[in-house]
Amino acid sequence: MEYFLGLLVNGIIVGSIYSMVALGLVLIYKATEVVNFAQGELLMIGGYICLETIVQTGMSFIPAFIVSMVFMTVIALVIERFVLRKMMEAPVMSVIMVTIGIGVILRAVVIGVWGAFSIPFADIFSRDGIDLGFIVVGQVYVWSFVLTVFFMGLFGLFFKYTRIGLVMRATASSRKAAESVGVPLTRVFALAWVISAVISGVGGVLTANIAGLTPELSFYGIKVFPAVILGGLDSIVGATVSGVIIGVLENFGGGYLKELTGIKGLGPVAPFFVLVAILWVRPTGLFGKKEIERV
Amino acid sequence: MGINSNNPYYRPLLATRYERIGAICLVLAVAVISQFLNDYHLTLLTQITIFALAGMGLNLLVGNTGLISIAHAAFMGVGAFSSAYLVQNVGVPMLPAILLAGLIAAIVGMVFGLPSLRLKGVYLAMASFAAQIILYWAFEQSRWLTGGQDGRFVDRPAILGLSLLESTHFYLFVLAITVIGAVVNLNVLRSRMGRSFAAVRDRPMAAEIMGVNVFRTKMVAFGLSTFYAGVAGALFGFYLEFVAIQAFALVVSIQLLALVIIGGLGTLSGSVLGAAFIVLIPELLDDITRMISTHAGDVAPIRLGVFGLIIVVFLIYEPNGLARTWRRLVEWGLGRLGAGGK
Repeated sequence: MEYFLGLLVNGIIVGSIYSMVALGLVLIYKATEVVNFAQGELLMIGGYICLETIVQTGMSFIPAFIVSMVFMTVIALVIERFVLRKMMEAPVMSVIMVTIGIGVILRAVVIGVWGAFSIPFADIFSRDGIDLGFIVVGQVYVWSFVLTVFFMGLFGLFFKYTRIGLVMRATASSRKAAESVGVPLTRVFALAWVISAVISGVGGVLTANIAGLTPELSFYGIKVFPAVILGGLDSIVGATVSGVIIGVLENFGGGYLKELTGIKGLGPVAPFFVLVAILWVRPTGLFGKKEIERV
Repeated sequence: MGINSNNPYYRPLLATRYERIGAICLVLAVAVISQFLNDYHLTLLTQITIFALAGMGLNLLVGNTGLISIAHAAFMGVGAFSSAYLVQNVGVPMLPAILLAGLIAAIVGMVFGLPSLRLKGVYLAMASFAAQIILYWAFEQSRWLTGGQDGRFVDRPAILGLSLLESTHFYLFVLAITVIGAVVNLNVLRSRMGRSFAAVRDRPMAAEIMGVNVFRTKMVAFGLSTFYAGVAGALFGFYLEFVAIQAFALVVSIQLLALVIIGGLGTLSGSVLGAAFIVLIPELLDDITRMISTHAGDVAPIRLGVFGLIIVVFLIYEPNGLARTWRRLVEWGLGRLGAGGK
């Protein structure tokens, strides 16, 4: 029972990070119809920049965290301004390939600067566990969960109550209509990239705290793909819910399925089986809208 | 694109005598030259030829049909491992084994790609991405087939009684298959199906209304594309006589995408130029890196970074790839010649 709860809680917490990063992916997709294949690399570089800031300047975690978010903003603006904006008229497939290219560049930078091997993240959270009454959970996990929920709430409020949030929602629901009432599309796109990159950066710092820093961290970011397919590529609610589902599934996959089948390493791959299965059974995902196209 | 004699979708294959002679001379020249190259250069040429074949397959999908696969290296892997298994453990002769390897790769590709072909292109991108990760993991697990992390050795059997152990002889075999692949590629594009590819790429909705079965068209494109990948993978295995799973990692899939983008989307010359580019550039980069840096660890990230940069720069500034650059150069050259003649 304790094992079960352990896997479950762990899954929910890691899953909440997926949810948040998945939100970033859905955001860009809704605003610009582009699936950002560099999302995992954005997450990874967020973790590296945060650690580098701590090591180089000796700052404590919170200011370093803020500094790295500023960096993420700059990276997103550079990507949007110098790459994506030049491709606004290009076919969607080319844009997807460009994001793959960006991902490769970011990965090369990380390997070039920090090497391909794992670096432990600075100890930020105390190693003592927190007793939740039924199970003891590491502090990193608890704080990750709290921060994730905080940031998701923040973005939720932003989209619901601010004017810019409204404009972004309008653009997502119809790009043409938004443009015709004078929404500056380029700025909305830029903002979508910035928010998405910052979200990924937060995710990167948190996962780096949990798993240590390696270039393989980008793999965490990539697991949001199964999450968004499960939830529906265009659904914010879907992304949030299914991120958690994927996290839980992955943990159970690593735990129970291994005992059941004797196959190793099923955990990290399990979400991708789900992705393929969902495409077979219900391609619009749990919450996605069925698309009706007109000529 | 209007209907004119230069439109590849309508004009006959090798329409003029000049073209026929040119194509035959080119193939013969490559075949003859390959027999006199040293080992290192022959290795490069063989790699280029095999990657050109894989590139043609991916180009049919990406360039001609407007879909994307981020798993073509994994499909090559399926081809390489299954042909090796068929030859060594089942005793199938090499030629049928290579064709079967292509079929198996196509079937595996279908399992992953089929559902997403009903949807927008981005879904195939995602599904193929999942395929890359799942297949690579399956390669790692299936020691009986792939040898796991250690890789497996592959015998290179004789074909029709002719030994291909000599690498110059094997090259001729690879060249023959690639030329067949090229002819099939061009012919498919001239068929009704090939024109459907273009219709689905350019205006999927309009194509459907005009009676093109969009789903079937995508399926044929994807199947054909993965078949090419499987055959190329099989050749790759027989050529190296050893296959390691690392040869089919995500990075390689991205390199294949880079190949078609750099070479030129939707053109045969693009696949060939792109293959030459992605085989030769890393060699060149390695030399340059070794010259300016003594730190061996610098090679991998520089290689990677340059690839990423090239993908991005080409997509922004020369989305039609080297094939277009080449044509511009030729036209410019012919123009100068013409001007000189007057």
